[in-house]
Amino acid sequence: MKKIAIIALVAMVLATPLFAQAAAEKNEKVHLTFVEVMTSPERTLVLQEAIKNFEAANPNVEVELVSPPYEQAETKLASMLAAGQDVDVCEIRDNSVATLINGNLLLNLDDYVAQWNTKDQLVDAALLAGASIGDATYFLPQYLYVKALMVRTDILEKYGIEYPKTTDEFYAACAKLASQGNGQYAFALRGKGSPCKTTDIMMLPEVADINEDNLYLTKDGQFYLATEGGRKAMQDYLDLFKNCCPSDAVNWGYAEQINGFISGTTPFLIQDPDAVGSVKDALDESQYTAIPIPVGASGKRYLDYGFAGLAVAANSKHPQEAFELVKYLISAEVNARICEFYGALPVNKDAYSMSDMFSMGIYKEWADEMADENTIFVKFPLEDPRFTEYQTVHMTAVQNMLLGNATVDETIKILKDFWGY
Amino acid sequence: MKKNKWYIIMMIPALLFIGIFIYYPLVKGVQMAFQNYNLFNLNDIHYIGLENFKKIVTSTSVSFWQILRNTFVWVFFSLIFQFLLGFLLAMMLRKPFRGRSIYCGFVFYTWALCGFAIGLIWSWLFNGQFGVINDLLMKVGLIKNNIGWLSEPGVAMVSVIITNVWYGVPYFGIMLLAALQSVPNELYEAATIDGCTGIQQLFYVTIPYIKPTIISTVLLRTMWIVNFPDIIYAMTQGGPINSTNILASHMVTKVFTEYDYGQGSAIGVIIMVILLLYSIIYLKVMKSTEDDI
Repeated sequence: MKKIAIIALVAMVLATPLFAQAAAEKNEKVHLTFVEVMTSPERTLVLQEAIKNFEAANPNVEVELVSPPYEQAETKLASMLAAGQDVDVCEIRDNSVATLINGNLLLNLDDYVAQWNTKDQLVDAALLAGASIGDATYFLPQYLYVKALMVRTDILEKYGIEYPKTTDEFYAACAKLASQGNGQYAFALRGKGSPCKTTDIMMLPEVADINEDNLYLTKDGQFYLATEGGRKAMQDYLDLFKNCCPSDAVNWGYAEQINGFISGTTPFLIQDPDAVGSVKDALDESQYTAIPIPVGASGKRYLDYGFAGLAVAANSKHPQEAFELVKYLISAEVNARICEFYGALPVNKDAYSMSDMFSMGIYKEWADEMADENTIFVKFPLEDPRFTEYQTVHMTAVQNMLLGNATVDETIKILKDFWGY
Repeated sequence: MKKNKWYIIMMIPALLFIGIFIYYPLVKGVQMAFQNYNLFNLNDIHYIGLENFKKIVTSTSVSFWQILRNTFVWVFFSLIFQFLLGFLLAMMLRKPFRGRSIYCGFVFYTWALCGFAIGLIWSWLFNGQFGVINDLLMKVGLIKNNIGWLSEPGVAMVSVIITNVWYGVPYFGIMLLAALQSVPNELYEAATIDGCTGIQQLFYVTIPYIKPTIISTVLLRTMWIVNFPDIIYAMTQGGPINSTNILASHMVTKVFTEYDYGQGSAIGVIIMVILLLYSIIYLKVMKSTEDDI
C-alpha cells in the first residue's frame, strides 16, 4: 500500500510540469512582470487597480506586479535586471536610471515612441526628460518634480511683504522677515540630503547662458559657480543663512524644512509639488501658495525636472505588450490618478484638465511656472557617475562654509576642483 | 566508519546553509573590495588592486582619519555608558519587588525598537529649533539660547551618543540581570560572614562570578556598535561636516547614495579587519587577567 502511494506521488510530481505545459499552451496569455520601486501600500493599491483595468482592456495579457520594499527596491530591481530575471516593465528614478542604461539593461524605445501617434499628449518637460540620458529614449516619465517657491501667504501679508519676483526682492523680503525678531526667520534652508538640488536652483538664475545639458557649466564651458554671478549667488546664500535662517538649518532635511514652513518660522520654502501633500493637512489652503522661483541677473530661472518613469527591460520577451502597458500607465486618466495620489506633476497634458486637483489651486502654480517664458529647463549631469559623489562632497563643503570654517571662494574651489571644469 | 559517514551526511545541510548564506557573501564582499564595482558601470567590472582602499584613505572630502577617530569616540563612549547604566539597572532589578516583571517590560522595551525609528524620534527631540530638549532646558533656566544639538559639529556627536546609550542600556540590563540571578546566594552569605561590605561583595563576589557574561556581552556589543549606522544615518547622515560620520555610516553613503559597491565593500573589509584585531587582543587580554586570578 505504502509503495503504491509513493509511486502515485512520484508520478504526480513528475506529471505536474506536463499538465502545466498543456495548460500554458491552451491559455496563450502574455505574461508581463512589472516591478514598482516607489512602493507604499496605498500606492500599490492604485497600481493594482490600474493593472486590473489594463487587463480588462487587453484580455490576452496578464500582469504580475512585484513590489519590493521601498528602501531596497532600486537595488533589487538592478539586481533582477542584471541577473536576467523575467522583468518586462519597471519603474525608474532620475537618480539611478543612468546606472541601468549604462548597464544595457533597458530597451531602446525610440522605434516604439516613433510609432506612437499620441505622444504629443505629453508635456514638453516629459519628452525632454525621456530623452535626457544616453543617446536614445530608454524610459518615459510618469511624473515630474519641478521646484517652486512655496510661501506662507498669511505671514507675508502680516508683515506687508510682496511676493518676490527677482532674487534681489527675495533676499530683501527675507531680511525684512528676519528683522521681526521673536523667532521669526525667513527661509527653510536645506542643509542635508542632497542640498545641491535646492541650492543650484537658487543660484543658477544669477548666471546667463547655462548649458542645458549640464547645469554646472555655462555655454562657454566654465563652472557656473566660478563666474562672477555664481560667486555672488554663493555669497548671497551664505548671508541668507547667517541673517535669515535658524542656525539649526545646517542639519535640516525634508522633514525639518516642512516643519519650519508649517510652523511659520520659515515662511519661504523651495520644494517639489509633493511637499503639498505634507503641508495640506496642517495648513488651510488660504495660508500658503507656490510662486515661480525668482529670476536673477540673467532674467531667467533654470529648473531641473526631477522625474520618476517607466521603462521596458532589455530582455523582455514581450516588448510590444510591455510598451502598451507603459502607454496605458501614462494615459491621461491613469496618470492623473497616480499623480493625485503622489502629489507630483502629471506628464500627460490632458491629466491637468481632467483632474480638479491639477486644474486649480496650488498645483496650477507649478504648471504656470513650467509654461513661463523665462523658465529654462536644464539637467543635472545624471549620467555622470561622479554626480552621486558630488552630492555628498557639495553637502560637506557647503556645511563647512555655513559654519564659518571656509570662505565662499574656498568652497567654490573645492566644488570646481571636484569636477575639474 | 559507517557512523562517521552518517555524521558527515547529516552535517551537509547545515554546512551548505552556512556556506551559501554566510561565507559566500563574505567572500564576494571581499572580492568586490578589490574590484571596480559601480552600479553606474556594471559592464565594466574588473580588478583594480588596492585602488578602492587608496581612494578611501586619501579622500580629501571625507577624511579617513577623522572617520576613524569618530568611530572610536562613538564606540568607546556608547559602550562605557551603556555598560555602566545597564549594570546599574540590572543591580537595581536584581531583588524581586512587586510589579517587577511589568517594570522590566517597560524598561527593556527600547531594545525592541528599530534603530532608524529611534534616530527619527530623537532627531525631533534634539531639533535645535522646535525640539523638546531645548524647550525643557530653557524653561528650567539652564540655557538662554537654543543649542544646535545636531547642527554644531562639536555637539552633534554627543547627541547621537546619548541616543545610542539610551537605546543600548537595556541590552546590558537584560544580559547582566540574567547573569546576576545565577550568582548563588550562599556566596553572599559566606562573604557577609567573612565581614565583606556591600562594595566589597560587588567587586569580590558579583563581578568575578559574572565575568564571563561581561566579557562576551562587551565583545558582542562593541561589534554591534561599530556596525550600527542606523541612528547616525537617521539623525545627521554623518554631518554636519562629517563630525558624526563613522565607518559604517560612510559605507552606507558609498553604497546607497553613491552606488559605489567597490568602495563600500572596501570599508566593510576595513571594519572586518579592525574588529578581528580587536577581538583577538581583547580576548587575549581577558584571558591573561583571568590567569592572574
